[in-house]
Amino acid sequence: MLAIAMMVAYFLFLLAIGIYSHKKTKRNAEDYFMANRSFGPIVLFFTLAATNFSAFTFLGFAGKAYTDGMGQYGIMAIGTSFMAVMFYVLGKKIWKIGKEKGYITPGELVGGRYGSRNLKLLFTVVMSMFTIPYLAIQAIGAGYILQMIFPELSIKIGAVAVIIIICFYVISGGMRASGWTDMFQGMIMVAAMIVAFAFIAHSLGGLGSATSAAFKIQPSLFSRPGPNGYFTVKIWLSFLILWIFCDPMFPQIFTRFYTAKSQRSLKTAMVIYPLLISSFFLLPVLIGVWAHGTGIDVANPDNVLLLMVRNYTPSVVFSFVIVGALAALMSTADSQLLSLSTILTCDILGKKVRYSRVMTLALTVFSILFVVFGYSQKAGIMGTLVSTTFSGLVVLFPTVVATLYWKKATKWGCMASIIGGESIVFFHNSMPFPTFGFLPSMVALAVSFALLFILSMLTFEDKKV
Amino acid sequence: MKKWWLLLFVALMILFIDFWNWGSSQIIWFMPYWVWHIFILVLVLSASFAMFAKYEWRDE
Repeated sequence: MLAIAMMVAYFLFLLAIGIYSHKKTKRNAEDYFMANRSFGPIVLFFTLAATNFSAFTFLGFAGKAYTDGMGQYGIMAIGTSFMAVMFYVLGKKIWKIGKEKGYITPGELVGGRYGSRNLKLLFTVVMSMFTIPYLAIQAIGAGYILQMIFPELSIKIGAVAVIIIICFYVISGGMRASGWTDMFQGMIMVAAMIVAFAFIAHSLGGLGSATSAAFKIQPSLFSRPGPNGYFTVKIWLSFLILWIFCDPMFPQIFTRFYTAKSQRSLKTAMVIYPLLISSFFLLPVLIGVWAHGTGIDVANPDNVLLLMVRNYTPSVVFSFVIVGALAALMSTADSQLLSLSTILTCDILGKKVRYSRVMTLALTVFSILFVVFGYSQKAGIMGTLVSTTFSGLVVLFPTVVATLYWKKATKWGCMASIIGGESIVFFHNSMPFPTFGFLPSMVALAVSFALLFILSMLTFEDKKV
Repeated sequence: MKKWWLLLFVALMILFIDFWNWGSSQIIWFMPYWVWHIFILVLVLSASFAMFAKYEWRDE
């Protein structure tokens, strides 16, 4: 009952922010889609963090740590921290060009450099196609959370219900609403995780005792490669590269680069981002590992964090964590939905705010279809994302970096890079081939870079003509 | 980007891939030694970014 009351209060507060920002937003595309490029350092940092820390961070980290151990902290914290260097490498240039030319979408930046509508559409379609599973995963996370409160509710029904709620919420607000709610949700998310961690550690007899109990049961959780041999050096290196190159390709992160008020906003985010990650990512991983020392029965690893909170904290904390987990996934989902509808609307239909609402509805339907038909509980949150979203999006990186820095890059090189890289991703999903211990996405990335280089060198003269 | 900034970031990246700690599970307080290694390196990375933003990143 307390959880339901807190959840309702949370939704009402979000709605209030949404209505207030709706009143503040002018009816032009620049203001609706980009919040007039006015995000200062603090709002930009929180919106980047809240957008990137999702159901995957809250539930998926703990689940993966439960099955594979402490290595989960390393593969997530290192690459995600290092990714902040991209705020300089990509963010600075994207912000500058976007401001000068009035760009709103990633496709406009890429297509604009080469004067190619086809490349713009290809980039937009690929970026959208691989983000939909990520959006659907947020809803799956919500399904798990709702099942904790309503045990008789199916995960998929809960997930679909939350997608629909998020859809209505996004339709009512633009980028300004998304940024402000992200700030609020980011604060709740961090506070909830800290409170959950503190109470669980206290209930288990302190930090040292909690670790000792788990270590006695399963010592391999505390070393690499972990109990299932997953964290090899090659996998470690693969994830380091994956996060650095993949994270800025999330449409919700890429479009945030345009919204910065000044370069100072990007600089501040670059410094604080790793600082928050260093401790924030550690908490769900430790909770997931500690579960082994408690003897609780965990049927689905992605549920381990919520089970630990339910078993080892007072009901008021459990309710707060439920709201925190919802905040984590909703802040990501609404940003994804907004950025996807923005790029699809602006790149395909034109910069019309009203079209964006229709596009939001269409994307919601696609996400529901993925939830119903595409999600495998066996693969888990981490497995589903690595094989779909992350592999598909990392292939876009060579095109973006070449667009910003390489004068000899051509549209043919970029198209070949995207199509060739994505073909590898699809091919590996349908017929797995040896990747020599590295993630399959590393093969796709290498092929993508190679095709970009070769085709650009071959067609560079054509560009001059 | 000046060369020595690049060298600093590459050095940090190499330190993050601590293959010499593989197989180690020695616990210090409540975490394995190698997790402390990563935790501290992330803090160092953040400090490096702060220096980089102050001294290398010029506003345009």
